[in-house]
Amino acid sequence: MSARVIASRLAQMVLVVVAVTMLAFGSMNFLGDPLCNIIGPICSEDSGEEFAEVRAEARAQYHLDDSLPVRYGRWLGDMATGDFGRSFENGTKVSTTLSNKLPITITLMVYAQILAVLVSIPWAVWSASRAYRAVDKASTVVSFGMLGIPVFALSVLLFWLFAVKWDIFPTRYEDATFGAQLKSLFLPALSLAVPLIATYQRLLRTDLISTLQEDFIAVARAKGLSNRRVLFRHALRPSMFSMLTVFGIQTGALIGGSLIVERYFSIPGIGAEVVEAIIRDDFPTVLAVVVVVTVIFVVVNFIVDLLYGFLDPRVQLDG
Amino acid sequence: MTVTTSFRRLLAILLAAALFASACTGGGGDGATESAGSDDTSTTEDTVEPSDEGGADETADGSDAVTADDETVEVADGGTIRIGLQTEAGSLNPTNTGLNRGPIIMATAVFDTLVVVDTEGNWHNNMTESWTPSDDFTSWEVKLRNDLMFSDGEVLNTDAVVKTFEAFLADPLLSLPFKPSFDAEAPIEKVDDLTFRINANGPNAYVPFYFAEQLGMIGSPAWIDAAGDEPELDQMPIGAGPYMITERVQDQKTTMERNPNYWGEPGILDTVEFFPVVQDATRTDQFLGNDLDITHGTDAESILRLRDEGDAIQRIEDNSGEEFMLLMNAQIAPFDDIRVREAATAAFPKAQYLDFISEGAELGADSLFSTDTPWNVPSLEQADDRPEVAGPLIEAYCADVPAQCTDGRIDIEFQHDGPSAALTRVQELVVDAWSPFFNSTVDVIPNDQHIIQVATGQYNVATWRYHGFSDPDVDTNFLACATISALSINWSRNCNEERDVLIAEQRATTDPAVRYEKLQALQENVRDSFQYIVATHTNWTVGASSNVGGLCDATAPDGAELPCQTRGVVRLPQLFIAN
Amino acid sequence: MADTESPRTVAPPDEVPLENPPSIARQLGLGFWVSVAFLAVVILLAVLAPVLPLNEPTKIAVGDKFEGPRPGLWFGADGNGRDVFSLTIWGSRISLLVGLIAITIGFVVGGSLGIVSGYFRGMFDKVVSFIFVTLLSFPALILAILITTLLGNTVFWISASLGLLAVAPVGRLARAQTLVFAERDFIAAARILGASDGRIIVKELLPNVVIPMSALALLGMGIAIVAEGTLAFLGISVDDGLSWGKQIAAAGTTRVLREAPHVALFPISVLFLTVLCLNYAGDRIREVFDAKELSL
Repeated sequence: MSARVIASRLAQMVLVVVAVTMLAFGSMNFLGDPLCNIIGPICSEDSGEEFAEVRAEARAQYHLDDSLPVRYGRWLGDMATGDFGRSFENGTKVSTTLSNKLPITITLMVYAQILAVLVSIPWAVWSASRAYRAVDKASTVVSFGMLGIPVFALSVLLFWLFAVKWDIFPTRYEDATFGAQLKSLFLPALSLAVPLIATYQRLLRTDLISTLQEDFIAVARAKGLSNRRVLFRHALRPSMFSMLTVFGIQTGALIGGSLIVERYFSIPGIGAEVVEAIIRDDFPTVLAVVVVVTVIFVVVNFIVDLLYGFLDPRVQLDG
Repeated sequence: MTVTTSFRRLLAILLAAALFASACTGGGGDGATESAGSDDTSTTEDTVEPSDEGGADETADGSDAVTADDETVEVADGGTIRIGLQTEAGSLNPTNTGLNRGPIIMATAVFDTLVVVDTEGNWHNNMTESWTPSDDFTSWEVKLRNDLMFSDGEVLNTDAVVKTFEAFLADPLLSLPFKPSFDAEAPIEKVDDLTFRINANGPNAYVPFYFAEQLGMIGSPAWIDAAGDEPELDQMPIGAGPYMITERVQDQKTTMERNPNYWGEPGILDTVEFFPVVQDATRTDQFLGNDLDITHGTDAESILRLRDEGDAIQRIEDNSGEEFMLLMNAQIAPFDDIRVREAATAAFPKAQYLDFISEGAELGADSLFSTDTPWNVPSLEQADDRPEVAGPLIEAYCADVPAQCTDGRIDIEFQHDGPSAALTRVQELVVDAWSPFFNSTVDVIPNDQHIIQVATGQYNVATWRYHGFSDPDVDTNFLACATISALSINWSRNCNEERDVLIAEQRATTDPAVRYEKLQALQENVRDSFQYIVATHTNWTVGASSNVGGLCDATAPDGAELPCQTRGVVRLPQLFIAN
Repeated sequence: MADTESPRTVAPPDEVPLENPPSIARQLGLGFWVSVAFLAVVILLAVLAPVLPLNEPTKIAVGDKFEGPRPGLWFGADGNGRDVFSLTIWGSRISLLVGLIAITIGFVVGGSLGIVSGYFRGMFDKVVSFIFVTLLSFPALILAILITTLLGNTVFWISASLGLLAVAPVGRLARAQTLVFAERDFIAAARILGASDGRIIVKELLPNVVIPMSALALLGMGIAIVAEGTLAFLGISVDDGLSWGKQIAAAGTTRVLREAPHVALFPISVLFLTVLCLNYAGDRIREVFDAKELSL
């Protein structure tokens, strides 16, 4: 991939992020009165003179009398310097919240991806090498079912089986040790990973089947290489492109899923925080999370594009 | 921090006082309940499940608890205790936040209180030497101890008290329930470095009680100032209590160590760790799985599970807590009409409520004062569970005010905070029982908005959890006509002049018999004006592992025994790990 | 799910197009018709709920607290003694309705944007494509929660916010399909014959784009139902009324799962089967029409 293409990709990335910030900032200012979100129902002018001072002070403090573009510019400028503002809720710095909670969410998401890859690759190889046999068809049905189950329903099911019924995993997030953290994050990570496993397995299986029909595989087999070696050494790598393509998109699904599982499993991460923040109209927190999450999403997809081009030189990206 | 940032939070948390929290649909939660009286203590005896394991030897009654140096108990110095909290604090600054029952355990350890209330419901000096009332009980001269020091080494003197008290009263919202009790011009006056005067708004024989919880927590003046500019400091409060915070990550863990400057007997434990676990079921799981040494809670399931443990754990129940109730807004239609309030009360399914929601874990209520308090009137009954009475009342009302009715049923909005699994079940139960008479629209809003809507009178019917103060005088502020305004703490906006007279009379008398009589009349008045529909008296249950010692050994400086727990709040300095 | 099938899909040997292809109904297969039948039953029950001999779903104490399934109380009773079967049927009404409205909004808005931008190309296309990319980059669930919270948690706004989420994926597909067909001879012919752009879009393009997209409609409906359930599960759905998400959220607590897992398992099963059937039916339609498309 040429430097020019990378540069144009980067430019598009920045544009998308800016557009998302505008959308987020705009929606929070157009769809609701920010003054009311800061001070509650006494924001209304007819809620009494005794609160006039509070209103005036809030307007001044949050520069609400400035025009929307000016406020947006100020917010963007602050954020560029790492100042995400303060929570409407209790005045703490949003950057503190982010630095406390973001690592937990990232751990959870990486965990889920690792689980998904660890399960889906062997499974896909296994079923591709038995393509169209009964066991493969059965496994296709299973993976189809896994795609259909909503994350929240799956969370309830897993929680019921593994935490309540069999009491194998804890009902609460723990991070005293890394081991304890991994144990308490297992069920939430698995809830996120199940649809991922199915997605990866289906794509990889299809690609593997078509790769296995290519000549170089026949050559490898003719050389007398073991079946396992042919599958994992020769067939796997050229079959991973489709899976890689959706890896980035699936990161988006993981972000959404983290809202659900973090809230359900009481994990003090950024996903649970943003739901709470939206419910409480704590917009500085919401905005910060939206920006951070979008940047993660866009960057992951960018890296996937780079990798894609890198792995397969035939792929030409056009800006 | 500027006023406005804190304003919204204050409005939310302070007025929150006590009601169901917006429990998340968490993995374990059957809906957390949140509660926060701002200044109150329990007056009643606690019942204690004795434990014969571990040798902590708690007695069956908080009033005659066995002391920590009981011969069967080996008091080990040091160690760590892990406490599970029902709620986390947005701020631990008592001058800008109403502290819920979870955070107030932490705040009591950090700040201590000027006054403490014993197992009999009497107040005692704690950080004070003496309280001397004027002849007519309108002003009280208070002497501080001379050995009080903050954890940062500064001296706690009159200036610190005045600073804290004024910061508290200066807050338009935090002060709302308390301002009516104090003189508007000069609520507090400095006499000398260790003496100050509190001026009540009229004769009041019960002023010291006000300083037994949040209002009696004194913060370091330097810290209060600094926290005003930097809200992060609200998380790291500086007080003169037995413990101080060494590390705190909100929503996760707070660690405390002994305050080297503490004036009293130093704490036995080296470290105390607090974990906010808002899902009740999860907190109970943690406790029963030995991941927590102490837990507290109000939900039926946890209480029943702790009871099932029998003697394997220590369990202390306190039924003197706040009431769960339905508020009916008496200022707007249709509940401005007493017939509608009476009909709603009559149709309230108390028996089903106790069956399906309380499940035997809490007591049904007929008035503001629990059967566990001296002010309860056993013969007093709320006219609920009589749906046959409701029909004719509704019919009559709809004939008079057809605009409020559809198909012979009154249109109302039923508001509760949420999302909360527990409150949703309450709503389902009540709305179903009311369905022959009321056409209810349900409105679920976040906890802070719920409080604001109630305080500003923008509701028909709302779920609420309130009262249960240590001294009825504090409760009466919430029943007075004077506290109905734009922001009202007479939540139901139900004004009654006869009641106002009774409030003033009970406040002025020092004769318990006279006071009981006045409070009885007051309770009848509240019932007959259909101020509330009360459902239950909250059961605050504390569970402690069998090896936690000293639970019921707390004493006031004069030796008086303090309750093992007060509405879910345990004191820390006397706790130890028994071997 | 449209992206899960690689472009290099190879038809399994037993599905190689025949000389005389069987009827479309045969091609869709038994599984498809079973799915459709299940969906029909679910929809029928939802529509007929008011006239069916069911317990009132909100009625307290129909059974004992957490009573297990028994004749007459087929799915058991919940913590308030309410009939879980009746709750599940009534709960389907809002779930299905939201799914339907959302996907309609997504198709009308996204579909027309996609077709128009794909047909005219140029600046308009660039702007629309950028909007699609932006919408796809915005964390979807956060956007839905945000809109619902700001505008009100009514059936309409929940549907609208989920519909908005469908705009970008639907629009992208519609645009891609349009690009394919816009190059085809019959469009060029229509243009030469002097047909107006509007006429070409409506008469020639639309029918050809709509058929492959009907598969997406079924898949999208499944996604929308799940999304509504997710919002409800997070506590952000209609206050009044019942939905599967609310039901599962209420039953997902430790307490209920410990004492009466059936209260959670029945609605989860029905939701799961419904989504599964929508997915399967959509998948089959796509495969069959893709095959047709290839054989053209």
